[in-house]
Amino acid sequence: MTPTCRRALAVFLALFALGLSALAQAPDADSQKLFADAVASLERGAIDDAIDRFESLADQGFVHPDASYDRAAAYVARARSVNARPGDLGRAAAALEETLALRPGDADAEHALDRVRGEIARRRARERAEPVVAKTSLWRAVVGLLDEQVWAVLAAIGSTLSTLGLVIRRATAARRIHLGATTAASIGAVLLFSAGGMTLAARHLRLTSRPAVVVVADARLLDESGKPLIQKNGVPEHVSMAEGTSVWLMERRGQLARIEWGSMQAWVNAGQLRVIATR
Amino acid sequence: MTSRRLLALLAVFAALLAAPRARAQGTYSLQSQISSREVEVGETFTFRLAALVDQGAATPRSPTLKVPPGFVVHGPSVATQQQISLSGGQFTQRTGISATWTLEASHPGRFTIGPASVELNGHRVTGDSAQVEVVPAGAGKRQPNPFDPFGFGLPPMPKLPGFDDTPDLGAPELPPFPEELRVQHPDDPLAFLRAVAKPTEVVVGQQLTLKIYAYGSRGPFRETNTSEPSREAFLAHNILDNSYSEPMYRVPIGNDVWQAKKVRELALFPIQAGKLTIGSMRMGFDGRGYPSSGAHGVERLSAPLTITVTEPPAEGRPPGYKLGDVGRFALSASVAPRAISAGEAISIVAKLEGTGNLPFTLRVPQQSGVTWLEPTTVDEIEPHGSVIGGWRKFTYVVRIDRAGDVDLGEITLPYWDPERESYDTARAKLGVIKVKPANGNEPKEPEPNDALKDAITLRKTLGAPAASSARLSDERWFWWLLVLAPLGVTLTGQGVSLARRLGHKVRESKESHSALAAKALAEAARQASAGDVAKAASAAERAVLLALEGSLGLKARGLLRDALGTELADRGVKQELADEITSLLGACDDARFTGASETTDARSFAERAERAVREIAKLKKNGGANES
Repeated sequence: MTPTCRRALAVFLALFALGLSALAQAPDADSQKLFADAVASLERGAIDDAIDRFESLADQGFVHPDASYDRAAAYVARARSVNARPGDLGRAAAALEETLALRPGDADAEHALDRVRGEIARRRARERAEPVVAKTSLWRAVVGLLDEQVWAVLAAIGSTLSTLGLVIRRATAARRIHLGATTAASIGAVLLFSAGGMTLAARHLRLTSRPAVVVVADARLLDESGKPLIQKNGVPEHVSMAEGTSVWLMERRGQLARIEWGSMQAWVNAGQLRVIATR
Repeated sequence: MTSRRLLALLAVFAALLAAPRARAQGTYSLQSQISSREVEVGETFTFRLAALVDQGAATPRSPTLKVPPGFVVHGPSVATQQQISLSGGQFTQRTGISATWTLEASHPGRFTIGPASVELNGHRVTGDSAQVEVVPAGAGKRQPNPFDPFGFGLPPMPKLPGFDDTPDLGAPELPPFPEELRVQHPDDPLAFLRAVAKPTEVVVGQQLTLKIYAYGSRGPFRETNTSEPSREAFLAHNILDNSYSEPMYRVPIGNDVWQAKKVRELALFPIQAGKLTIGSMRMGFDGRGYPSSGAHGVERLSAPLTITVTEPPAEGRPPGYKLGDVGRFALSASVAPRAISAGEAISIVAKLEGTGNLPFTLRVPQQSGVTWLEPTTVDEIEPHGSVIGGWRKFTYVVRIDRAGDVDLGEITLPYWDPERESYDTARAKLGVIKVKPANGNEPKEPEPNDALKDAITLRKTLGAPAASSARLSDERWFWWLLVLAPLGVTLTGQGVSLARRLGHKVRESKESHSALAAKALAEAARQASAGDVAKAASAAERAVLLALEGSLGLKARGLLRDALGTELADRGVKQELADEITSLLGACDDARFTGASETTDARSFAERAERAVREIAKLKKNGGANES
């Protein structure tokens, strides 16, 4: 299966799962107006005002993939202007990650995120800084192959298949039907246990960690007491994370945040991260 | 020589008796003082010896004090002293030392302190001793001495005849003092610091005022060896940064009069939310009545304080509000010039005035073709009473590249007003700038970084919202259904099988030989009661044959009577029972075919058959006929 096919399948399954989920929430009038004002500000070149309004929307708990997308547009606009501020591209990357978390498969957001990450990498290369390193743990990668809801639907299909197989197996004496039912029940049981296990794991990861993005030029990795990690003989592999790096926020303790980055766990200053809103 | 010295000592002793508080012998005088005649356990008091000699004589040195066991002694602290007196029309000048010991009793009782002594011309001379009554802690009745307000241990005014100790006018009136210094109980019998923060619940950026007061019970004091209270989570403005210029007040606390003054006052602005701590302030009390610990006098710490800091409410928060912008502000702005050519710049001066933590940034009205450069700022911020306020000027250079009448809009500052408990926005309108078309000589606006050009296109309307966050895996029923559906089918199948097996067994037991035999016996009894011999015999025969088949596996119906006897014998049935079975079956045969029996009536068929069946059943129970 080609990557494109695999991605298409993932998107299809995600949309299928989304279709099964409950009704979507509609934005209220105040949020709509604030969004329209923010867009208008951005169109007339009032970038800071637009950013303030998009951030105000987020602060009010308004979560929408298009609002996140436009927030990214506002940060990108400022990053291109003479009033660019450090972290603008990181915030843009965070907003685009949020769009994708809220609407998986948004091609424009994926494309824009690639461009923003590419620009960050280009600027870091110019400054001879470490490139953006995308890392994820094997466990997260396996569980993240499909959306949690898709895993749950697969587990439900496995349960149904197994149940029907068992019923038919009992109900019929015909040898061929009996054999078919036994096979179906076995496949269903395997699907039930594997997809059920993945559902449990995905739920656990969702409840114990939140996606976040680094929004400063360099987020220094710290130990639990807040002291910077020191590299000795190549260990740890990294002592800082580049702007735009995606991590998992595991825990907050005062001004410090414990993060998972690939197989590594460390602490950073919580203000250096932007937590991604998820569904 | 010895007798002369003895006489001199006797003379000194006599002088002591005559004037117990002062001793003078020729060229020197010794004077002893105790700060209190009654003290509590743990309370400190002082003993002072002043040794003076005529000018020009050797200075007294090496003061020592005799102290009974159970006393903690600090000191002595030694100071030089000078005394000038007029006697007989001539000035007499005497010099010497004053040695002060600080004592603390550890248990109650009456004790003699002293005498203290000094070395003078190679000899040790002693002063007076003093009696002190030590009472348990808290049992003392210390009365303020209005004639010794500074705690120097001066004796009270001698009583005049006819005047009572306690005048009717009550306690002497103290000069007025600020109410903020009033406390009900002292935190320490000697000296203490009191820290007060108001308010203790604020939002991020809201001013709170920290005041620290010092109290001393032994008279005036100076601030020494101070360490400031820690306050990492706050921006601080000093309102009062040392106590030297602060007046000291006499403040009644309990039954005593204390010296008190404000030593610090700070305006603090929290920079983060949470339970924030203001650390302790340490201060040394330096003064004549305060024993020294090391070189810094009595040291005391104020209690740390906890301030609850929250964020202003998210509800109603205006766009662009920055956490920490708290106070009450007003904005004004001046713009010059009002007419320029495209590509030229104007100057905008915005003045922010008010009270609170004046922000460093304002929201400027950006628009296409108008470029705002970073402002330069000047300010004048200072305390007004206990409130921090003033002004800050922001000077912007704004370049306008668009020709025409350009409405600049307004500069704004959203802030939280803690007094009104609501958000507000300070505004300054900038007006319209007339911009003539460029003449072509102006520098071009720098091109934006184009690496990201068209990377992202604005979405003007909201599309489909994110799907609901409801997930199957968060529903309890989902997990029950997931597991219970196949498990239920499996368990139901097993149950059905079990039920089937049970039914089969029940049916089987119902159709067993013994059951059929019992049925046949019942039929025989019923037919016997009805008097039908043939049917009773038939049923009795059937019962016996079924019993034989069930117990011995012998199908006796097809056997001849003789053969049956042999067969039964071969299977180990007792001869007696075999004969009875053979006889009964024969009789039954007869009765079936003839309808009557010569020897047996219908009832006896049933009874004989029942006995036979019972005996046959015993053969089965005993594990086979051979063993029976």
